[in-house]
Amino acid sequence: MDIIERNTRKWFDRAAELLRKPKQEQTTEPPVDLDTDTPNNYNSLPPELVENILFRLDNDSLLACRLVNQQLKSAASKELERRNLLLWTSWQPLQGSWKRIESQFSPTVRVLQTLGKMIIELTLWQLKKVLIHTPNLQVFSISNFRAKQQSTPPTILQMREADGIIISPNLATLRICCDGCELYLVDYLLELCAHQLVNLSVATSSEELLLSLCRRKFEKLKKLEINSFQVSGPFCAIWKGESLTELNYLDILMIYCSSREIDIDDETYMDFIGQFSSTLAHLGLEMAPVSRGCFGYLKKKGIIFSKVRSLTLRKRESIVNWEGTQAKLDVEALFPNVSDVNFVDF
Amino acid sequence: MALVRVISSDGAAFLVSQRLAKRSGKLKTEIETFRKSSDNSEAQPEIRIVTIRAEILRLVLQWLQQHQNDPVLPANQNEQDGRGDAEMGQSQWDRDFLAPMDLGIVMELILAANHLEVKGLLDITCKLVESKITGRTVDEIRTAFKLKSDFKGNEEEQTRLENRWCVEN
Repeated sequence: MDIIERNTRKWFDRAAELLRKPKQEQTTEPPVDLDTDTPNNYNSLPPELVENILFRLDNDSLLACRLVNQQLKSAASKELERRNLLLWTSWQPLQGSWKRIESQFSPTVRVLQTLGKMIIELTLWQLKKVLIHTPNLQVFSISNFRAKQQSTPPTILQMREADGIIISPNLATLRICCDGCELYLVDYLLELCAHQLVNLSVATSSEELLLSLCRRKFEKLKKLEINSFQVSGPFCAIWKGESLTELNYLDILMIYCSSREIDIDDETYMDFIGQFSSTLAHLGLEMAPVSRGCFGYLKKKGIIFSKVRSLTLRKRESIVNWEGTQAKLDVEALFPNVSDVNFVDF
Repeated sequence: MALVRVISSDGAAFLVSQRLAKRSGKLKTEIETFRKSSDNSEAQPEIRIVTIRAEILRLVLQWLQQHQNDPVLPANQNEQDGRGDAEMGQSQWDRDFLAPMDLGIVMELILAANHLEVKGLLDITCKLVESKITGRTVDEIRTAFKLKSDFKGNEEEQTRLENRWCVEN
C-alpha cells in the first residue's frame, strides 16, 4: 500500500468517525418522549419518511430542525448536505473576469474543474464540505471569493471546536488570489493545511493576508510565490523563516510604487530574503531594489546564496546596460552559481 | 361486486370493494397473491394488517373511498421529479379530512399510508407535517412533536454556531 493510499484511508477513517459521531450518541441515549401516552411522534418515523418530510422543507426550517434533537439534526444535516452537493454539480466556471484572473495567475492543475462559481459564492460551510468530499485533493486554487452577506466570521478557535480538523491528506499545493475580502476563509484554509503544504502561491492586495501567513508554521514548504500589490514591509519584518527549513524556491514580488507615501523598506526586504540564503535553489524578485543596490546590503552582511542556480529579476523597462553595473557585480558576488540572470518583463 | 375483508391489528374487520382496495399497492399485491394461491375464484380474500389499528385503517379506507376515481400516482414518482406534488392532489375535502387530527394521528397515518403504499395520502400527510415545521421556532417544533432535546454539553450551542455559518449563504 503506498503512502497516498494509506493517507487516504486514514482520512476516510477520520471523516467516518466525525460523520458517525451524532448517530452513535443517539443510540446510547435515545430521545425521550415528553408524552409517553402518545406512541407516535417524529422519532417513530423510519428514516425514509423523515427524509420524505425534510425534502420539502426550506433551508431555514432545516436549520431549525438541526437544533431540535440528535435524530433531526442528523437527518436535516444530511438533507442540507445533499442540497449543497446538488448545487455544486450544476456550477460552471464563470466567464470573463474569472478567465482573466486565471490567465494572470496561470494555475497549473485544477483538480476540481467546476470550482469557478463556487469560489465566487464560497461560504465557510461550503468550503468545509469541499474538503470533506475530496479526500484525494492535491491542489486547491481559489480566487476572488466572496460570501454573499457580510456576517460576523467565526474565529479559528470556534471552527476547531465545532468540527475538529479534517483535511484532504494529499493536499500539498494551495493557490490563493485574494483582494482581502473574506479573509477568515483563507485563515481557515491555512489553519487546516499550512503544516502539510509543499507549494504555496499567494496573489493579494491585502497586507492582512500576508500577516496571516506569518502566524502559520509551514514545516514542509518548498516553494513559495508571493505577488503582493500592497505595502508589505510589516510582513517581511515579521515573518521569521525558522520553520521553512526546506524552502528552496522563493519568488516574491512586492510591487514598488513611487507614488505611495509608504513603501517597503529595502533593508527589511533584503533581510527577509536573506533568511533563506542557505536553502534556496531559485530566487525571483523585482529588479527595482536590485538596481538601487539592495544586494550590496546583503553582500556587506556576508550573505551568499551558494545553492541558487536560477535567478529571475522582473523589470518594468528594458535594461540599457547591465554589463559592468554595480548591480551585476553584486549579483555575481551573492549568487556564485548563477550563470545567467533570467530577466522577465511584468 | 367483489369484496375483500381487511382486518386491523386490533381485530376490527372492514369489508371493502376489491376495486377500492386495489388503490393501495400493498392490498393489491395481497389480493393478487390470494387469487393465485386460491382454488376457489369466488372466495373472499381476507387480509390482516398487523401494524395498523382500526381507527387509522378506517381513515385510510375513508381517504381511498373519497379518491377512488383519482389517477393512481406511480410509487417511484418521488425519485423522478421530487416530492413537492402534494398540493396538486390536495382538495378542500383533504384539508377538512386532516384538520381535526392531532399530530400523533397524522404520524400514524403517515406510517399506514407508507405501509399500504397509498402515495397520495402519504404526500398530503407529509405536507401537513412540513407545514407544522415551516416557520416554527425550535421550541415550537419540540412542543408540536413532543420531542425533547437530547444534546449533550454545549452541543446545541455549537450547532447554533454552525447554523450561523450556513446562513452566510
